[in-house]
Amino acid sequence: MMDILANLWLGLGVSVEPMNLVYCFLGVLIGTLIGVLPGLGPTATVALLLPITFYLPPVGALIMLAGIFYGAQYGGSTTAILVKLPGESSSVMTCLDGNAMARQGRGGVALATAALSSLFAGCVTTLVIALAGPPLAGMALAFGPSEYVALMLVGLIGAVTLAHGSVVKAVAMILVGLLLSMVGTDVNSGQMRFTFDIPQLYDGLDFVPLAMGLFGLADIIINLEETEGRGIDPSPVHRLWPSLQDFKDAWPAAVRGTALGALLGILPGGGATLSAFSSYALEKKVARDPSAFGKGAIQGVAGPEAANNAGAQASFIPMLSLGIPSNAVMALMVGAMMIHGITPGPQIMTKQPDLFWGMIASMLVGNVMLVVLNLPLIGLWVRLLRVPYAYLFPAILVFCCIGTYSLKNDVFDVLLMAGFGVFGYVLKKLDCEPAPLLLGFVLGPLLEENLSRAMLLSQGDLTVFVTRPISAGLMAVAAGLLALILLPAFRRQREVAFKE
Amino acid sequence: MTHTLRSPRSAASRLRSPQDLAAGLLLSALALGGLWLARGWEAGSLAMMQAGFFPRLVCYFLLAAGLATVLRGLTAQRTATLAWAWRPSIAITIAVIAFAALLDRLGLVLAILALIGIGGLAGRPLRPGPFTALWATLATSCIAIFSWGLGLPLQIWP
Repeated sequence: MMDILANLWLGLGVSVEPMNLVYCFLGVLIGTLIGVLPGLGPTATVALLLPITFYLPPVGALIMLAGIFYGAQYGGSTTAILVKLPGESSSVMTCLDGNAMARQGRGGVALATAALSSLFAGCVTTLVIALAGPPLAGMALAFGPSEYVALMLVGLIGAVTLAHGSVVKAVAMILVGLLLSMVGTDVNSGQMRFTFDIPQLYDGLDFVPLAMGLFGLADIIINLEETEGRGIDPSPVHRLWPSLQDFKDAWPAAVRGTALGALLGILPGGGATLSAFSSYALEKKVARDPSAFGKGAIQGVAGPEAANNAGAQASFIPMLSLGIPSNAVMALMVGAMMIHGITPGPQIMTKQPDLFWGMIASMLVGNVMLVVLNLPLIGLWVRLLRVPYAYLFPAILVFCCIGTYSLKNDVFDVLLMAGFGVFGYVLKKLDCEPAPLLLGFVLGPLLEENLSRAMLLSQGDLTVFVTRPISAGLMAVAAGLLALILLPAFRRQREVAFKE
Repeated sequence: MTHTLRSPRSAASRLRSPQDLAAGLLLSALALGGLWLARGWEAGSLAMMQAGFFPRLVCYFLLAAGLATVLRGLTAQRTATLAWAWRPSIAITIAVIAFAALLDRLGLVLAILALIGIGGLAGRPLRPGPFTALWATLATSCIAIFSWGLGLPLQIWP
């Protein structure tokens, strides 16, 4: 315990060196400014800004990159709340209630809740990393393919609870997401699947055109339809800061979200995304009034925001202690470390303690800086909500198009987005919700790969899922969730039947 | 532009939930399309899954969900009509397609003009003065952020 405090102290010493503070601040600032643009999520932002860190000393470069990463993550939540555009899969859940709050004139409260929940999650997770990084990384290694399959089933079944309407349709949306995730070249056999001989589809669909179409474009069409072309009225801002009641409602959700995020974020793949989705599902289950979700429940912002930040931060654990990047951003970080001649792995903690602990301590500093930087900006962002819709929606259109284009400098993605916009509108008309679809899309490749690997290892024996302890436990959770979902649905149908 | 109206329940309308029926048909069609496209892919066995296994698995589940939704559409006791907002949906889609078509040929500034010009028809179009101001602001900020700031290779003028 004393060692860790001493180490953290060493790290803090490194991270509050004036130049490192400057790098951290610049990273957070630039990350936020770029991350706010629709379509540019953390991955794209870090990739775009990677080159500018080549000229910095190694510690400074990594601190700045980490700052860019948090900034972009938070910037993405800002766009999600203000204009309902998720730039990244982990901010999809923030869209739902955050944007609903913004429309009720509580945009400032939503932004402040997001910032404070993220700060809380960030600080707690940093301590978790410092205390339990290596053992937790070991937990990720204990996860074999069958455990991953079981975990993803829990996540996907949990996603069903996100939807308001029919359970069957929500399941169907997950399946459509899985189907979309298969577009591209099959990694194992090289078989082209659902590519229609279009070269741009050989690498698969990208998340951004899909999410921008389903949420951004479809939402514009729906807004214009519902208001007969006038567009939604900018709602008067009631208050900028959360009230005491808001705090009381939000903090338990933030604590639960942090715990989920810190656990699930360590796992490779959709860690941050899965934790945000699960946190939302959990909040909706434990809430006294689940029907408030989707209509501006503050827990629906606090939980997922804490979870995705904790998850994002926890994804540093396998990267720093095992050298395994758990997602695209971490892969970029590993790349940046290699460029500076650092090989991430278990030895980094002993060989370069100033770098390891400096980076961990800078997470604390970065999270605080993020909040200090963003709280004053809330007033500015909220003013954006007062822009009349006739001006706002063309601007959203422009940023959607150019943000999507900037991914690969290819107009094909823009056309895809147009197609998904229409598809999203059709889904809305048919009472199908796009959020489960996106989770299916993100988890699809992992699910397929792990399912086939689990079956290969067990030689086609399906009982592995219940004979291995962790996987059996997760399967039990999945079965329990399924029962929880199906029972009320049956009850409701019976009630309807009795009324007739 | 039309609203989704709750029509008064009439004994004559046997089709209780056109939404569910249409959703079910769409889902079933997607599943059948997927199965048809996947027809030539080897499925392998449970122990040795090939490229065709997972698509088929998902499509069969999807088909089941689609058929269940069709069934619900035929029996459910909800009355609602399907409406479609032609003007916004077509204007937004064509605007985005026009942007994609023009960007590489005529450059960013004119592509934005087409995008907000056609897209504006989705709602109530702005008067020429405010429209020009919006165009100028959006074009300048896009060039400043994406071309100068992030260094993307964007064609700006024709």
